[in-house]
Amino acid sequence: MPGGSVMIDDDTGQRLAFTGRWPAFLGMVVVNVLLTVVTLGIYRFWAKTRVRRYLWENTLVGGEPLEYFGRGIEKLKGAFLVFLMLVLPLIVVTGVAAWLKTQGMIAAALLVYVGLYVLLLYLFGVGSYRSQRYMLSRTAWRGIRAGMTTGGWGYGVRFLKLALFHFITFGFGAPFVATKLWNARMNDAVFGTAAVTADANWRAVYGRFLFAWFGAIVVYIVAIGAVFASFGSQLAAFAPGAPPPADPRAMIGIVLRLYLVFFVAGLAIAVLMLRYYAALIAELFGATRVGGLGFIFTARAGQFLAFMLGNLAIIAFTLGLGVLMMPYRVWSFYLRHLQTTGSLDTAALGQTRLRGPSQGDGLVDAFDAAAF
Amino acid sequence: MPSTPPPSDRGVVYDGETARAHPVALTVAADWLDIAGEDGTDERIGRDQLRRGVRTAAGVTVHRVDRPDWRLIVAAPAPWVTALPGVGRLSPRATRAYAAVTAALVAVAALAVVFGDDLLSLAAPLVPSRVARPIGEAVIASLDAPRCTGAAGQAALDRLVDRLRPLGGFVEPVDAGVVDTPAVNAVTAPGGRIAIFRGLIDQAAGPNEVAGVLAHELTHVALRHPAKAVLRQLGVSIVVRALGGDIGGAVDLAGLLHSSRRAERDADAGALATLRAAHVAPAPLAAFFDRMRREEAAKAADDPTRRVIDLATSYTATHPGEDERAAAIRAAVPRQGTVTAAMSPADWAALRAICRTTAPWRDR
Repeated sequence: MPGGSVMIDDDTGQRLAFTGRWPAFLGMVVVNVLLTVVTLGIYRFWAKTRVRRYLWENTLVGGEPLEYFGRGIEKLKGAFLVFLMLVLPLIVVTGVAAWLKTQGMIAAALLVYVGLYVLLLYLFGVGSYRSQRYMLSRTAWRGIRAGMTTGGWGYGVRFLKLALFHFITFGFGAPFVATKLWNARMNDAVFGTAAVTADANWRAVYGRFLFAWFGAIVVYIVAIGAVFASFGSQLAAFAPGAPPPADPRAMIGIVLRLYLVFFVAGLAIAVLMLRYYAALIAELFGATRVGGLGFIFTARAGQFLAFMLGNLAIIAFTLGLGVLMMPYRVWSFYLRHLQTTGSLDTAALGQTRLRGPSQGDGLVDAFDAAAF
Repeated sequence: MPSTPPPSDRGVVYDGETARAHPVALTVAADWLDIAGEDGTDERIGRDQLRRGVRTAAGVTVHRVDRPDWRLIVAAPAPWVTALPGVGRLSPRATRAYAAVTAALVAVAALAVVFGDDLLSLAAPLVPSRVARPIGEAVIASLDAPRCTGAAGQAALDRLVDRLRPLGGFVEPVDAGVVDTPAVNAVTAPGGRIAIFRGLIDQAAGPNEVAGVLAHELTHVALRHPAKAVLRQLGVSIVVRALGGDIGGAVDLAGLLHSSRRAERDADAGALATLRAAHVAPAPLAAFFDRMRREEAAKAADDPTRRVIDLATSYTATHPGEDERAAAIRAAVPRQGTVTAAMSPADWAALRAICRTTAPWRDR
């Protein structure tokens, strides 16, 4: 490393790497669960902070780790604030609505419920923004902190509008909504003096989106057709009130074959959907830049499928305990398939002036929506 | 020739101003660290200003108390680094404060687990009827069934309530009615409202069974169980669930089920005392529980998975098992004294006909 001005674009080393080891992570989360139980749940804020710290510290960017310096007490404070300012008023309002209903003022009660629903949707948007804001403000690399430039109240309005758009297009606006929300959140982010920018384009993935949906319908019809064509005559045995089968073992064979058809069809639909999903994630990361640094996301539908089937297997074979490993699995999967392009001039990258919020992502904890 | 000690270590400084890496040579003394940059800079920092951070693939991170964004990465974990206090280490004062708060929280949690139910019993009379009545209205409305309005039947029910009146009177005005729904059940809502389901009257073998159930519900009123439930739901559960998350919610549910079963046992015991004072035989109530149990068993016999579920849920039920309750009641039969029928045949006939006419529930 001669001199100070090192760009992280030397192709000799891995630019993004994950050094975590699953036994170490598992040991940590098991202790977390035990501590959370004996503290009637309060420890969960510290538990989540420990998980984040582990994942961040084992993430190397250009050979050097990310740093997470959030604290459990900040998250507790955030949850407490949300409790006082959101949960308690909500209880009062729902109580008022229930009382209005008993008084026969159905229209007024309905209005309160609709208003409440819209408010919660708005706050969900604000919460997801503020969660990102809190996490970025507690993230540093080489001593340089990240952050978000606004409080997220405006993002909440945009989230509400796009949710409405998603609703009135019967979900066919989903790629538009996903890219616009990503862009909005990323364009407010900074890393030190470097701006984070994103211009993900819904048109890039819309073909796959439509292909996935119509392909799914075709697969569904083909599967139903295959069932009727191959053993339509035997299906009468499943009709309500049908006489019991003469040979139960033959029935088991039919049931297994039915399951096989639907399993193959389900797998085909999953691949179609994951093809779209993988393209969307690739588009989101590919359109995002941190200063001069770009990203390439390489996971394809097959890799997503293997990842998800692996998750299901882990959870099934551990009787659900494997859920504890999911943050690790997700984080390492994404890092394995994420590469950088371009370069970041570290000598020109200065510290951010943003101070970050003093309390944690309580709003998103209230909705229990944070992935990590 | 004057000899200077060789630099004991090498490292990289990130000054917190830019992301530029400054390779440095480190000289360590008893109470200071000398940091010499390759660009000729030289800085001496007191070791009391330094804190040891995390160890990662790049090395050990050293922090500075006076400059939060400053970082020094030392590749080799030298002894002087390991000897530094950890960055997250709290001051003795903060440690004491945390310990005190934690001890207080654990004590509160333990007290809540052990005495919470009794505390709620003490607090229940403090719930004003202004608060209890609208909640009770909402509970009755949630049954989504009309009130049976047969005048003779209502008068008969009122006479039965009067017969089961405790010596000191009711703690609040009682309004017992029948709702037109086929389920076999009865509900006591805040504000002294008792809703007996039509199915219970239809299935009862005689008026004494209804009297037994009514005595049970009247004990709920006397012990202010509905007000307790309101306090629990709006006070304890919300706080525990909001701050304790899923696991806090599970602990809260366990407490809720425990206190609910206890309330039902207390109501059964109260019902026995009430029936004895009113000279009504308790055995029919036991017979009623027995019949409920047989019906459950008949359903379970058809379905082996149901048996497994029943076994598993016997720990999580809100009410004690029917046979346990029947046994407790049967034990009281020898002490019953002289008994008379709970209702006259005419009153019983009127009560069975109460649902000929119905209207939306209105308090009386």
